[in-house]
Amino acid sequence: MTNSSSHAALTERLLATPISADHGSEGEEEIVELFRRLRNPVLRYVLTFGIAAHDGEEIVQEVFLALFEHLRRGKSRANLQGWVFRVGHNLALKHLERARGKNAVIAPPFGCVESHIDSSLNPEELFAEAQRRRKLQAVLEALPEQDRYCVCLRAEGLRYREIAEVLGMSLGAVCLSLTRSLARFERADQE
Amino acid sequence: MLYKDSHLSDAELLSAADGELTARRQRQVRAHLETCWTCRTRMAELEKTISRFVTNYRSVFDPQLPPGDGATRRLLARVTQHSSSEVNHAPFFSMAMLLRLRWAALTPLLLFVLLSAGLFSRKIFESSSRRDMRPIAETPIIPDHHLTPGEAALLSKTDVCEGNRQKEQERRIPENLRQAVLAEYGVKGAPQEDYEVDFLITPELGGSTSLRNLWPQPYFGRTWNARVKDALEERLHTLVCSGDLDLSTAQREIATNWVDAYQKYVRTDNPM
Repeated sequence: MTNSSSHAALTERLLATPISADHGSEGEEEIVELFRRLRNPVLRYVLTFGIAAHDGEEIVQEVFLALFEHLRRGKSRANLQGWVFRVGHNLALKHLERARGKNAVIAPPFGCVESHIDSSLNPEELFAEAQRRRKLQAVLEALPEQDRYCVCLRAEGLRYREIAEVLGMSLGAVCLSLTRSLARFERADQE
Repeated sequence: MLYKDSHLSDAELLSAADGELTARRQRQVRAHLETCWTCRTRMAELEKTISRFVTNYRSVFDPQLPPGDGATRRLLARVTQHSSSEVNHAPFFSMAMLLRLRWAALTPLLLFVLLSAGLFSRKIFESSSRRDMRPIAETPIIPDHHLTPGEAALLSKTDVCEGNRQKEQERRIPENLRQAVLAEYGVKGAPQEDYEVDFLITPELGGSTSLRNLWPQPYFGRTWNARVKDALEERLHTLVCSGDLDLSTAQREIATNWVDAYQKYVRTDNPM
């Protein structure tokens, strides 16, 4: 059987049957399990760079292919969550570099303020909520890049040690960055 | 040790809330908070700011996340393909294995390896050439509905008919999106003349420029190719704008099975 025809047969088989725990080799099962757990957090983080969802999805696929290779080569399994975010962060930066090289327009990451606000609020409350969010987002967009990465990684549940590894900072710098960002959010909220 | 009249800094309060202090320091902070209303109030304010930030963050990005099931299948297909390609390149023997053999046993083995190396490398070259480019004949004429279910903008018949037909530049698919579509179908790097990355629901019928509405359609080698589908798109647009066909029906039928739609609306089983 040729490689390409075996690939076609494989694709057909995969699409015809739901993914289950007993599908594929042990390494494939593990990578699918990790993907199910971490795909949304990593994709959300990648979107904060202003990358479009379809490009973000491609970046996340590359991250998990790299993770598969990493695990298959028997490399360290310590802090895989941090590893996944670090690779995602670096690929997102590379993507932005390439996009800037082609003079592509990078979307502002925190658009659409009015959408997704609780529709049970009355018009005055809706207005106030939209105003508050707009201020918060203006602060987030105005944060220095490192502070923004830091607070978004924390929002995705990473510990200070993991954030420090992803961004190449010290633990103390992570703590100070988060404190600084929260102070800015608070001031914006009170204005 | 904390004195009763001193207060905790925001950094310490945040680290305590995040469980990032040492166990000893965490105990001290907890004890202080039990006695100090000022620090407890400050802690509550910080928690409120965090809560507002997280709510806002999630409400902006969660709606942008595409459904995960298709992505999981894509990853599994790519991982499996990656594994099988690596297996094809695996060496016959590891160095450790060779070193364990005596020279006397090794000499005929080396001769055998040298003779077979030429044949093997040729086979590898041929198989990798095939792998780089999946043959056109294997690309489905109907897109995979898990990967390309079809997606359309909320447009009215007036929008699509009254002089608002998509300009050429609006039909243009960005190169990175084109490559993403080709990768999704396992034909990454395919030359432009072999495939049209096509809209399943054409923009003339309101189809959107998204991964869920794009797929690689071969130009050649099949009866049902990209040019035939273009003819169907023209026909459906005409029918919708003349009022003979409802826009949503046209979108649904072209997305479900465009070959059936061609046979139904162009009324021939033998296209062009």
